[in-house]
Amino acid sequence: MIMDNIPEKGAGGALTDVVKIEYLKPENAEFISRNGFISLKVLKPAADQAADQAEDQTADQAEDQTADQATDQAAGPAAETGPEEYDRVFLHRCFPNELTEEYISVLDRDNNEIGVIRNITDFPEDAQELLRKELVRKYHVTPIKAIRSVNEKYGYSYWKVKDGAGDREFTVRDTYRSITKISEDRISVTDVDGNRFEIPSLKALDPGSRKKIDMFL
Amino acid sequence: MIEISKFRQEAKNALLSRGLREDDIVVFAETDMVTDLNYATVYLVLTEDRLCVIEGQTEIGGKPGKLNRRDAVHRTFSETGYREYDFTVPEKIPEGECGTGAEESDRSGDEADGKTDRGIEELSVEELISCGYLCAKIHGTPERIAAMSRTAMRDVRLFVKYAGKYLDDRSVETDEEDFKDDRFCPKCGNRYPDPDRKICPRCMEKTKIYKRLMQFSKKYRFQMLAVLLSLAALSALGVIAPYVSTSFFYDKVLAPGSKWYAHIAFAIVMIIGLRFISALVSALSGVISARVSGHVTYDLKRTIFSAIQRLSLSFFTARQTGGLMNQINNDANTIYWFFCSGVPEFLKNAVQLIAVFVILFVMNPLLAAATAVIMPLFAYSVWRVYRRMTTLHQRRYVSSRSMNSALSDALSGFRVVKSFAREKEETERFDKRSRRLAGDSRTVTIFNNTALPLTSFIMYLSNVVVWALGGWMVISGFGGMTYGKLMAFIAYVTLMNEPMFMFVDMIYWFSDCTNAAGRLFEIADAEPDVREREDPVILGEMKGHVEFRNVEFSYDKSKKVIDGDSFDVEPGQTLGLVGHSGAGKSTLANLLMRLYDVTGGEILIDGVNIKDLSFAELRRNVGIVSQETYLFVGTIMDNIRYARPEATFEEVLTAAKISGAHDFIVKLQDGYDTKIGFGYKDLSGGERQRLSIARAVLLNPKILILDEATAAMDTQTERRIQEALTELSKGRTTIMIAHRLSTLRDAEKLVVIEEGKVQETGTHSELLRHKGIYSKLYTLQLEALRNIGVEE
Ligand SMILES: Nc1ncnc2c1ncn2[C@@H]1O[C@H](COP(=O)(O)OP(=O)(O)OP(=O)(O)O)[C@@H](O)[C@H]1O
Ligand SMILES: [Mg+2]
Repeated sequence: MIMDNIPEKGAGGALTDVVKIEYLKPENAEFISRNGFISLKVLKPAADQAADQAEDQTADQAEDQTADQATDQAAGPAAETGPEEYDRVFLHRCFPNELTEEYISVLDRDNNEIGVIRNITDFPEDAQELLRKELVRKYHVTPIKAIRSVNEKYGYSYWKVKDGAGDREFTVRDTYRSITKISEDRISVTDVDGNRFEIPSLKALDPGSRKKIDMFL
Repeated sequence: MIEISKFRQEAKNALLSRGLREDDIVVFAETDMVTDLNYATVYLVLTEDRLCVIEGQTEIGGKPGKLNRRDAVHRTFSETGYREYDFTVPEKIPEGECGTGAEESDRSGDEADGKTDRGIEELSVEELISCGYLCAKIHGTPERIAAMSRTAMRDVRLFVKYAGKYLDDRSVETDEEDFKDDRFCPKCGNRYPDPDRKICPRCMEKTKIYKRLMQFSKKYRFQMLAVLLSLAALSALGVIAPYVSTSFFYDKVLAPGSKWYAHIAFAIVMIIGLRFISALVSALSGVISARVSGHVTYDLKRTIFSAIQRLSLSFFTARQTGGLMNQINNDANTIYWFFCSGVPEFLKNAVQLIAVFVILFVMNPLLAAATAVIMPLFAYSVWRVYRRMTTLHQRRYVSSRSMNSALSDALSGFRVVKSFAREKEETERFDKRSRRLAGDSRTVTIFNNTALPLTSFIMYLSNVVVWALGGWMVISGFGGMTYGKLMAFIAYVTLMNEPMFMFVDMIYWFSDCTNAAGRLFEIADAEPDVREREDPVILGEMKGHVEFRNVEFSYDKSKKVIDGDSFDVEPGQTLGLVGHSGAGKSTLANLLMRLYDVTGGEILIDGVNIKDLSFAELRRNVGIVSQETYLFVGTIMDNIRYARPEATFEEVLTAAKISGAHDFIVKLQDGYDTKIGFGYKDLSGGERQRLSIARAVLLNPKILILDEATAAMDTQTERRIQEALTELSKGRTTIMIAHRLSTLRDAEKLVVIEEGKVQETGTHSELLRHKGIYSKLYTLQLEALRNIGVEE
């Protein structure tokens, strides 16, 4: 097929040349724990800061190169350099299903992206620990160890499951769509309130439970 | 006390053991997780000077299985953790002096910048993916105080709101809205499984659903009666037949000396005649019931469809439309089959089963009693096999659905598939699902072929038991058993096999049908959010003054999409709406059309709130060319005439001319009668837009909304249409949304929206002079155009 001849990055050359993603690295970013909350110090080159501001103003014309130039001139070089400090930052996995520690978007209080961490192992041990802890906390879901029963009624299904600690009951709307296959073996279920439950491994499930969920897969 | 969560006895006890009396509590809430995100029961208690967090586990006593009636069971709380945070609040003092009159708390040594440390500050909820944290600043350091699942989040948010208010100025005022708690079933007191749907599965009466279903068949009660009668006749015939062909034949016809001895021909005729009559009656009842159920489901579908049409847009955005349609169709079919074969089969089998049993008892009570014990036992084991089959069937159904969706996906996205050369992958995707379906079908067939002989073997075994028992009776002469009688008995026992079987199956069938009917009635009963007033104000001649007054709106409660917008348009003038993508322009248009209702403020037309106008009047006077053009399957003519089917040819032609559609339509072979839409002639993006404009122009409304109406056209076409539209907009109020700002230059007024808020208003030249957002956008666009060599 034609597709086979196209090099990995696509026929048009590397896309990374077109737009620059702000990657956070140990050289330019320092994560500090404040009683378990993360704060961040970022060192930015002055030119980047100016470009950033310009980008903000013309968010929807990013593709319009001439537009960017225009504001660049208008805004002029930014006055302040030096580290930028955020007293609280939030982490967000870009690919939560596939990569748990790579491509982590770092957001400020207003949900604006400060930068992206390519891999948290780029950072020193203690920062890694801090980031990892925060991620685990944020993405915590209730694991399902066994399924007691699933009853379908009037378009909803009523689940009784066993998690690590005990029995749990929850209701799922639109069952087929609320069950997501994260991988062939890993299943996530979202209930009516937005709580997420996860079967870490279908294979590890006992046959009785397996049979109860098989119908929906 | 502000009781956010239910203040139950066990909470009362737990608090008392910590020295907290009910009178001391200012705000009370319960959450369901501790800070390490494990489930627990956590009480959040705000008193006059402390915030207490009591963690523990709740044991629900009573017998297992009685979990249903939660409030009736005994609950005990055992504490596992306790924390308290004290705070000080300024007494209610005049504004501006906040903080100075506060008492010093014992730990307030670490003051910063002269600001008094009040202990707790900044209560907030941090949302995680599946759960959340209650956070606060305690003496200047942020801390996670408690956690919650999404289920408890509402309560914790309210706690944050009221505790926050109290911390600010000791206010204990409450918002009635927040306590209008309709999340619990009034009957059993349990929380509804879905807060948006007030149905309690535990209290729902199935009989009610059946009654309602029966109402649909009321119209056809005579036909139903005929079906019932013929079914009764059928069962009676079915019951007589074995008697004639066995007991009568052996004991009377073949027994020398009896009255019927050697009348073989007569006996044969009788046997055949009986079979024939029952076949006839059966066919008749089949025809009638098929007709009735067809009508019933038709009525049902029509009711549902008109209910759907009545519902507001938000009903559909909350559910996926495709799934909804599918579901309605499936459900209606389930009900059809239920009426068509379920109910008649059930009745037939019930009558037959009872009749056979009575006969068996009359013939030989002892053997009948033995059969009554044996038969259900066997029927149960058959049912077990059967149930496995339904699971397999369901599996096959799911895989066929997934294959179908892959197919329709690939077909409707054909263009994209082609243009990215993904044919191979699509084929593989389809192949994978198709293989799965084939596998499942094979399993079902294999199972059928092995299970069915197995089940009939089991049933046969049950007959053998009766045989053995009866044979022994004949030989020993026990209970006056004869050979003929035994043969008849056996024949009757075989007659019971099928109904037994049916009954077990029926349980599933019934529950399927209730589910389907329940879902359909839910749609039929759903209340539209946007409702027409019963006694609407009649404006008559509309002038076309439009005013937005502090309008607020959000699609879901989390984020305000429109935030307190106010502006107005004089009759006959043109208003331009400008703003970034996602700013809320289309939303404003939808609100004016009343596709959604505002959540705050009001929209007025000629000084009348649009909520007070009738839908008919509103829709006749407000026309929209929306951003997403939608064309129905049909001719171009039908599509243009959609809003006014009675429009004349000349009117359609004029509208098409104004919108610039006429030029391309006349080039088509079938002109205005060209069929368009899915599966027919495909139109270009700009052509579609021109048709949508023609549709709105033909409606000839007093107020016209153009949402990016000309975005897909080339500059020349756009300018031509724009000229026509400018001509058209004379004498009518026009609201124009456009990204290409040059098209809005002539508007009498421009409104710049950013993140749902009105930022600037004025004419083109005023806004340019103002040097705000608009002028920046405008110079940028001009610049860009100049750079590529286009001069405006
Ligand atoms: N049905 C919906 N449900 C939930 N959110 C919606 C819905 N429709 C729109 N939104 C959100 O509301 C915001 C405003 O959308 P709107 O369509 O009004 O923007 P717009 O100004 O018309 O943008 P554009 O110029 O791209 O057409 C967007 O953030 C969008 O994601
Ligand atoms: Mg829009």
